[in-house]
Amino acid sequence: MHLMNRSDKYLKKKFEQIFDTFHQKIFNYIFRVVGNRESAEDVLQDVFLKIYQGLPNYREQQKLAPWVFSITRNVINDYFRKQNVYQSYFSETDDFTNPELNSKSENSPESIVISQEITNSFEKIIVNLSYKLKETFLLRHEAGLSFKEISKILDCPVNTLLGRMHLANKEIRTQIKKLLDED
Amino acid sequence: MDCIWTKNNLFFYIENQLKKAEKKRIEDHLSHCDICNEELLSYKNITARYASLQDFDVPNNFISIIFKNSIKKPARQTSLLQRLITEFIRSWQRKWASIPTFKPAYNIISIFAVLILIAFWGGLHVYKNDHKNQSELIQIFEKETFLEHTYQLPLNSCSIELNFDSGNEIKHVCSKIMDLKIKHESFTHFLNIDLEINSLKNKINQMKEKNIFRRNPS
Repeated sequence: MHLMNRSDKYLKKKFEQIFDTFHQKIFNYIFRVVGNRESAEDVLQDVFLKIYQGLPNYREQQKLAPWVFSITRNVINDYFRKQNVYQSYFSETDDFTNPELNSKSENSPESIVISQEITNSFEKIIVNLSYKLKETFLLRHEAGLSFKEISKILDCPVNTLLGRMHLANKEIRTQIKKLLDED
Repeated sequence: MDCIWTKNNLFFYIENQLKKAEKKRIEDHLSHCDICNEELLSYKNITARYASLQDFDVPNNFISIIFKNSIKKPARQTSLLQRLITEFIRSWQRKWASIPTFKPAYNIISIFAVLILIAFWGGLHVYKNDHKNQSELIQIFEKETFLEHTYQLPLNSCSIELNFDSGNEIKHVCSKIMDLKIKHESFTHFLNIDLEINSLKNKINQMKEKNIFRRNPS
């Protein structure tokens, strides 16, 4: 059953319920992917707008968490795409002679600006993971989704997800070891 | 060999999603394999560390801002028909996209075909209308001339002098008379026709008088 024919009151109630249960998780997820507060707040606002607009098309048999996190993931991708366009535009107009800047702006998820709020070393390691590893890691740990649900959201088989999780674990382990050695 | 299998199923083991036999297999393997044990421990360690991380605080007024912004914009409600139409269009788009060659050629041909169809349709209408108009005009002209000549009705003068509406009324009566005449070709009911024409003459005269009165006030 779609929620299309439901009354506005019911939709608002459902929206509030989603907001109460998920806003903290979504904000953590976005913050760790995007890396700074300003853009995380913008993205969070967009996410809840999209959720509100998409509520009439939500089916009640669907689980809420995968639906909500697929929306957040799409919004984040849109945000990175916009940033990419913006960056490439400025790099073209300002210093198109500098090849290093251009190559950096091509993959914006890797060139994120990390805010000073992230002081925890473990947190820093997670934020510095490559985009795909971070996405699967956070969807598993922050959103608490199963691998099947994640595979549906990311549109890739479960085995590759398992591989990515192993890679992420490996990298985190090596980074932790590095930190311990430095201390 | 068992190491790879356990590596692939380790996450499901932690999530308790395995069957009993598989669970036993992993546990047996873990009891004697140090590498896999380390992997499991590190994974557990990472999950524990992640769970101990602090939440980022969402500012309080921020919640109200989100609510305001999201409730201002109306929710999009797509009906079943709309969806069906969009899906139909998308399927056609996919079909068109799957044709690799002559894509511009197809477009040009379709545009030309549509243009030719429109031109043909328009031309047909103009031709039909012309013929219709001509035949109608001839009929009306014949009726009027017949009535004028045989019964000396001041038709044209009347219709010019009188209002447009009244002129139309007279024409209506004339057409009735014509019909009568056509029905009985040999003027067998001549009397009736004469009577009607007389009444018509009276009507016209009345109208004329009225109209004169109407005209004068200015």
